[in-house]
Amino acid sequence: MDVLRVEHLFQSYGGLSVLADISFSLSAGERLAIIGPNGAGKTTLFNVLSGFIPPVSGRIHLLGTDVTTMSSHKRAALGLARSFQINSLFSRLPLLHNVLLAIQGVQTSRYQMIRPITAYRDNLVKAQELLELVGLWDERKSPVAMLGHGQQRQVEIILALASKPRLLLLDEPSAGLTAAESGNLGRIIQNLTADTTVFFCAHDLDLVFSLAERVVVLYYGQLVAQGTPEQIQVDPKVREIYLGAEQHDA
Amino acid sequence: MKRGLIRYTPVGVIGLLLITLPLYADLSIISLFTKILIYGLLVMSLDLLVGYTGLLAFGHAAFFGLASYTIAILSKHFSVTSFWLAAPAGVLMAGFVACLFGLVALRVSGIYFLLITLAMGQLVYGVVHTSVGPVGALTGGSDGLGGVAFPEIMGFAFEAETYYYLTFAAVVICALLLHWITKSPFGYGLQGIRENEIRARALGYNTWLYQYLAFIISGLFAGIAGTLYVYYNGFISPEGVGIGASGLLWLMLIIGGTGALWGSLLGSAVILILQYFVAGLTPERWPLILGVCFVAVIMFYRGGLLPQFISLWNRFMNR
Repeated sequence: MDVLRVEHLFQSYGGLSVLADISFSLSAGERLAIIGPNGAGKTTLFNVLSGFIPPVSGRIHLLGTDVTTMSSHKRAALGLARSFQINSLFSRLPLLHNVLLAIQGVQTSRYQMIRPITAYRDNLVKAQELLELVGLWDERKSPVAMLGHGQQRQVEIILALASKPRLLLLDEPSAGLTAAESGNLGRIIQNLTADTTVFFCAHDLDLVFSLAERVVVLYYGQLVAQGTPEQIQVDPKVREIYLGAEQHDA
Repeated sequence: MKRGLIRYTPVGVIGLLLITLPLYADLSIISLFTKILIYGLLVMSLDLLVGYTGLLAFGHAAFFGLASYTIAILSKHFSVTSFWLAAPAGVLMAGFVACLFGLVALRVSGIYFLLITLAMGQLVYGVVHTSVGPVGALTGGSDGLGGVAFPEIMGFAFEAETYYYLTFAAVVICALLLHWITKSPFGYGLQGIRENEIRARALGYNTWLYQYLAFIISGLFAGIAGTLYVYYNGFISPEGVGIGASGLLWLMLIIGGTGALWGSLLGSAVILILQYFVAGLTPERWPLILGVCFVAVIMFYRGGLLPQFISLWNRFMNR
C-alpha cells in the first residue's frame, strides 16, 4: 500500500492555475524530493497535502484513507507531519514546551487539564532525545524567539519529527542553515527508519542528491519530469528549466 | 530548595494578610476585599481566554451576571433559597449559555470574534434590562433584583465576616484549579494556539475544540464569581452585565497584566482599592481617575503592573 497517493490534483487561485493534474505516489520508506523554480507551486502542494487548502479537484490518499477534505489535525493523527518553509514556532513559549506540544499533538493526554505538562516523563525523555539531535537541550528553557535563526530552523524540523510520523513533509528544510547545520539535518533524515516516508522540497541540490531516491520536477504547477537524481540532473527539460545552472545555497 | 521557598514569600505574606483580614480590619474593608477576591476570580476566568488562548472576549460580564440573576430570580420568584440548589443553578446557567455563545462566536476570529462576543454580552444586557412584559417582571428591569441574603449552608448562617472566609476559600480553590489548567497539556495547547494556530493544527490539535472548551470553562468560572457576588452584594442590576462591566474587567486585566493569573488579582485589587479611596473623596471624578490610570499603564507599563512587581522583587532578591 502506498503511503501517499495523489490523483489528478488541481488547485488555482482565481484564474491562476497553480497545480495542474498532479499525480504521483510514495511507497513506504521512500525518500522523494520535489524540485522546481520558485513559484512552481511546491508550497501550495504542501498546503494541500497537509490540509490547509482544499484542492479544486483530485484525490489524496494517505495510508489508504481518502483525506482530500480531511482537516489538518486529523491528518496529523493519521501520521502526517509537516515542517514549514518559514519558521512556524510557538514564539514566546520555552523551547522545551514547543517540543512537548509537538510530541503530545497525537496523544490523547493532550486534553488532560490537571497534571502539569512536565509530569509526563516519557515525553520529557523523547523531548531530550529530539533536542540533543540538534544540540539544543541546554537551551530548553529559553523562549524560542530568543534563539538564532539557524537554531529556530532546526527546531522547526524536530517539531515535525516529534510525533514519529508515517509521512514527513519537509518544505525547504535546509533554507537558512549553514553548511554544517545542513549536513547535520541530512544525517538526521538519513537516520530515520523506513517507518517514516519522507517527501521534501529543496533548492539545495546537495541535500537532494544525498537524501532522495527519486525526484519529481514541478514547473508552473505541472510535473514535468520524474526519475532518480542522476537521471533528473541530465534530463534536458530540467536543464532548460533551470537555465542549465545548478543552484547552491551559500 | 531554600532559594525556591523564599521566592514564594510575597505570596505567603499576602496570603497571611488576607486570611487574617477580619481580625484587624473593619467591615467596609472586609467588604472591599470580598469584592476584590470575587473580581479577581472573574478576571482570571477572562485571562484564560485572553491571555492564555488569545481570544479577545468582550462580553464576559454576561456570564457573571447570568449566574447572579439566576440565583436572584430563583430566590425572588421561585422561593428557592437553598444554597445547594441555587448556587449550582447559577454556575450551570453561566456554563450553559457559554456553550451556546461559544458555538456562535467561534465561527469567526480576531476582531469579528471581539465584536460578536460584545454583541452577545449586550444581548444578555438587553434581556435583563427589559422592563416590560413577563421578562421585565422576571428580571426587575433597570431596577435589578435584590433580596438575596447571605447563604445558609448546613445550618450555618453566613454573614459579612464569615462570608469573606467562604469567598476566600472558594477563590483560592478556583485559582488553584485555573493554575493547574494553565500548566497542563490542555493549558499549553491553548497557549500554543495563541502563539501559532496553524502550527498547532499541523501538530494534531483540534484548535476549534480547544477554544470552545476554554470558552466554556471560562464561562463556568465567571459563573462561580457571579454566584459569590450575588450573595455578597444581595442585589444584581443590569449594570453588572453589560459593556461597562465587561470593559471594567478588561481594564483590570490590562492594568494587572495578562498571561499570569496573579495579574488578574492585582488588577482587581488596584482598581477596587483605588475606587474605594476615590469614592470617599471625589466620587464624581472616578471615571477620570480610572481613565488616567489606564492610559498611564498602557504608556509606561505595557505588560501591566504584575511584571513590574515581579522585577522589583527579583531586584530586591539579587541585591
